[in-house]
Amino acid sequence: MATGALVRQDAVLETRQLSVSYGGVDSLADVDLRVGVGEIVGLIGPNGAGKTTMIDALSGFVRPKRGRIEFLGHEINTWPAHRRARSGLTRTFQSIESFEPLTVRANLLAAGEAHRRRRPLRDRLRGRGDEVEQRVDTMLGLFALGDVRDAFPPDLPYGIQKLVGLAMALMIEPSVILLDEPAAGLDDPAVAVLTEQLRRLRDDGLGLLLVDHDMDLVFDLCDRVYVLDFGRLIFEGEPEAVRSNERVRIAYLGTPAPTGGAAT
Amino acid sequence: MSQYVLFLLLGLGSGAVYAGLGMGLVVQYKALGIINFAYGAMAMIASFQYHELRQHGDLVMPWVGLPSRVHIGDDLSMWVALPIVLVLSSLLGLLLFVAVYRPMRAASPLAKVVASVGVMIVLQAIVVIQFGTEARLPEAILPNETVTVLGLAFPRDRFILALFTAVVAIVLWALYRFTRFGLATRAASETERGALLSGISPGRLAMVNSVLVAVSAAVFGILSSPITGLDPTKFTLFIVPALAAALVGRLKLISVTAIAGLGIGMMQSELLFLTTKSWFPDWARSGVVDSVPFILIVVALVASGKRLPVRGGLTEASALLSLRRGERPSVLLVWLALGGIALFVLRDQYRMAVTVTLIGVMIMLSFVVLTGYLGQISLAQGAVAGVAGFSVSKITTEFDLPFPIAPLLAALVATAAGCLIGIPGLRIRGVQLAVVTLAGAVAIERLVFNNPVVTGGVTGALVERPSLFGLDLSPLTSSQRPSLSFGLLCLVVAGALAFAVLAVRRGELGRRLISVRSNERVASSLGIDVVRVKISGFALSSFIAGIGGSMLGYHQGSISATSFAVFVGLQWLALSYLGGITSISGAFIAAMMLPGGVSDAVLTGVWHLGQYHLLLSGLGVVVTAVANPEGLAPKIGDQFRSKFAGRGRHSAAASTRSAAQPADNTVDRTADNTVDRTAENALAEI
Amino acid sequence: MTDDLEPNGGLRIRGLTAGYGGVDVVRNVDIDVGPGEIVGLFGANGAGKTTTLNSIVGIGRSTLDTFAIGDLVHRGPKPFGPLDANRHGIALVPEDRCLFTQLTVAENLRVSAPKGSAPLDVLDHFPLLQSLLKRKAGLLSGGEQQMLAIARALVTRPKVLLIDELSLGLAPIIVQRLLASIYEFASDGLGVLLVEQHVNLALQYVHRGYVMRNGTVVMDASSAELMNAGEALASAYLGDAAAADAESIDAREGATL
Repeated sequence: MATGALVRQDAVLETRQLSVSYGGVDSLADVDLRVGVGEIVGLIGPNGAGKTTMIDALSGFVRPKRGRIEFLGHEINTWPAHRRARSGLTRTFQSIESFEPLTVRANLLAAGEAHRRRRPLRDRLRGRGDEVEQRVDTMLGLFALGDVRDAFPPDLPYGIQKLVGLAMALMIEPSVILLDEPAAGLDDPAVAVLTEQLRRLRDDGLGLLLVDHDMDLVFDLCDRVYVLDFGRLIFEGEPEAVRSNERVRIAYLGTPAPTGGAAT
Repeated sequence: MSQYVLFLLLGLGSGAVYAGLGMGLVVQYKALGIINFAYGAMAMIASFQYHELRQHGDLVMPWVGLPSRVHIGDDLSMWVALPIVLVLSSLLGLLLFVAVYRPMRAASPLAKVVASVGVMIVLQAIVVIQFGTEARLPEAILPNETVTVLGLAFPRDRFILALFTAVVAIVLWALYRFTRFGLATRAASETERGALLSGISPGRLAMVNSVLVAVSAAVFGILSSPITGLDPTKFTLFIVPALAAALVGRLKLISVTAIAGLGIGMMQSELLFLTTKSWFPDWARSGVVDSVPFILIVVALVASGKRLPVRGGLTEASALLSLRRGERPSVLLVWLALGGIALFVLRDQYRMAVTVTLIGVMIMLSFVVLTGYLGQISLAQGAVAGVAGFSVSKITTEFDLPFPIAPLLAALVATAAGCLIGIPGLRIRGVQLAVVTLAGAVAIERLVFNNPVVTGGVTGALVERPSLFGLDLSPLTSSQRPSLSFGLLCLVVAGALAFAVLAVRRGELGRRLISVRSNERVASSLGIDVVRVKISGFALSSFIAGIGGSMLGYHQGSISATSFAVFVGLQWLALSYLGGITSISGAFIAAMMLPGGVSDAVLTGVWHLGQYHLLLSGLGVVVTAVANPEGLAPKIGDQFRSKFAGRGRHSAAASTRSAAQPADNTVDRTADNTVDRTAENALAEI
Repeated sequence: MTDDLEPNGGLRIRGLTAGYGGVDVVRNVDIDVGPGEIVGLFGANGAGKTTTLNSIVGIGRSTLDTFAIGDLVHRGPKPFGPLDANRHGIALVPEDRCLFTQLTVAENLRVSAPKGSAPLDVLDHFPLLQSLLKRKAGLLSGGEQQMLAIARALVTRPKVLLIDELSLGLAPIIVQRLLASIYEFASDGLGVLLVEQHVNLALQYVHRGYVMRNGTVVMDASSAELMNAGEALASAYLGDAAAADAESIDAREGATL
């Protein structure tokens, strides 16, 4: 399915020595990370490692203390979230992703309208077909949401809600999407659909950063994986290498016991 | 020199009330998580009850209709009257807790604001019915002979009050600092879940604290009423300087609040003295005193708004649910047709009521846009409409501009005012914005509407009669009866605005406003400039309110500050909520309940119960806010749909399910999700 | 089958199911914690550990078949509310600790203690907190806060203590110390259910452990057995080590919503 119109060229998101502090504690420290054109990059780590902070920092919801964030060659540290979105960097959220009082179609319209340039008054008055409406219809088709176009997201199965959120993000024609636990709370069939969609986006040239706890999903989908622990990058590489890496195991499971424990 | 000091110290009288009420607000915020806008009214009603008891021996209960005057005895001493009133006050506090504040624990910020505004209206209405609107000067309670200190003569009562305030502040401080009860209250206000896990019941604590603050309000009100004078309006609006004091104390520090309250009183008194000086600029004479609390509030919120203790931000699930319902042009046409028919068929006061209602529709539509679609709470809409009203007066009389240019220009002025008021709304939301806008409304009312320099003094501000292309559209015919042509004019304008709002709702702007209301974060992440959208919302709603204000100006022919008083604006918000603040039909329903509108005319003309109109609408608001957070319109809409439509419209699911939270997530989200439910569990425990 | 549940002085739960919104996150879980036993609850994020603990004290939506605490047996479907849990002898130290940061250490303990008890006794086991009595809880270090959170839970004299994520954000040496204190308490008869991410560290102190994955208990074994479980344990956290085999690829491609 060729959907080349979705993507801009040369999409690169890069951080250098990115550090974020919450009240004196470094939730991210000196992280170098890169997302390129047409790849899915995973970001994993134990609880509290800083994964969501990373997405917040990249998407503009948290100010970094130190370090650079570069997107398409611009340094975007000071850009507010909506500006980053307008230039092609967007994200999804763990919880409620859509506008509850609006139908699925209206949600997509709202996202698309945020993206397009001002319509010339001439076109408006003449009632010329809005290209946003056409793109919405295309998107509804791509994600098989046609049947629920007039339904409200909170009434829909969780898996479909997530797809709506993803479709909304795509309406702004991004180059890079940051996905914050997209599979959380989904059952296996829904995860399968999600996986298929994400692969298609990658093949179309989008760059994706995927944060999730579902290891099977991460290792299955991602071309590369970063591992965070206590805010620092402890590993970067292919999924197969991550599993067997000793540092990663220690991060998740702790140091193996030297001798028998006190309880035995 | 000594005069300056004298006035400074005289301000301790009102300062004590501000301090007392402010401290009570802090405690209520800690224990209940609400800003109680009705708190000043509670002090007021206790003061009225006390003085009535002392003067006539009658105990006046806080209700009407049923027998409410009980003769206790004659010549009751303070030591008898005071405890009686305090007991009543504590019962009132308990009643309000159980009936209003506790059930609203999980309600949206708007619902909470409206509920306490509703209580304020109800208490106000009761006092007016029972005691009339005249101001009284009650006899002194505290010894007020003068005392000479440092060569200056002061009435002693100021000192006693100041001392009393200090003592109460110390007692409260000690209570919340050292006793188990106080510690538990502070603990529960920080984390309800932590409190529950430690065996502390936030609900029970909230109840005790409610009674405590009710008694405190009563005492401060009673003691200072001989100094400040007693009238329903003034006392109720003491809530504004009290809020200023509480915000300076960051809604946390009792001692700072007390000092701030006394300070505000002193500052106001001093300013009042300064306004009598010849060098004081004329335009600032009236009302500059009332800008003090407003400025303080803005400064306090802007400076430390982020650091104010935040009580669990709860979602507005049901409000968002009611926003789902689309609007249909056919329904609007029905409303307008009804209005038109009514105008033709009815005469005299009933026709006028329909006209007033139609003007009210314009005002209510402004709430639909600002609060319904955009979700911003503004208590200053009355002031915005008033700016238009007074502008249209100036424009028609001094610049001689005709209809329709004059009202359009006036609406533009109102738009500018509304955007200015909206600036705090860019940073602040929810209850905090309500507080700022309330203070702003008071400031505007005193500084602008009450200012003879602006408004032309005793005669009021005249508004020329409208005419269009030679057609006389004045509100009254030559025989001084409500004219059909003006009524139809209002119908056309209201209809135009209603359809304009409909177009907004269905179009891009409506989607954008609703997006920002329902989820700012997601909106930003999609590239929506939230700031711009908020400004557009304020601008559009102010313009609509401005049209309404202008038409009101034409209707009254001569406007004064009372046309657009703060209370008027509060009533408007409350009624808008009652009618249904998210829908255009709701605007029509709400407008019908306005003072001077259709329901008032019916109540007065048919049942002769006009004096109860305000009370009934206030009760309606409170009941609606507590029981039925969506307002009436959706309910009525459902009735119609089930009767007349075979296939129901897309009905909302019974409960909005927030997208399921996976367990073991990052900490905040789990906490947010569970706190709400445990709070409900907790309060159900009592 | 589980109709007659014998109380054992500790905590016994049968058939716990819990979730958020419309999704079940914990499905039909059974838990036993005997008096004096330290039991671990392990598993990756999203497995349902926190939801399990929260449900035991009645936070969030949950149902269960039966449970026993101390000497009493209760039927479901509803478990306690949090206030009741306290009264019956279950105390939870939540993941975010929920300390009263504006109150001092002493005040935190005092406000949580049942009337007429001596809250400061509990500090015998936490000598470090003795010197911090007047410090505001918000100003304590991470380890001290966790200590206070545990002490605060213990002040209610529970029969069973639930701890969620003991080591979150703490250096291993501090975690060791905390675990040692908990061990002492267990010796006095307190039952402990401990959610802990760092399995290998916890295994030195627990008697038994449950491993959860996707909302159910997949392993229930003694600490010795778990220590030898190696690969099985790792796969519970890091996913199945087996490379994606042909079958599962086909299965996913064919899946629809």
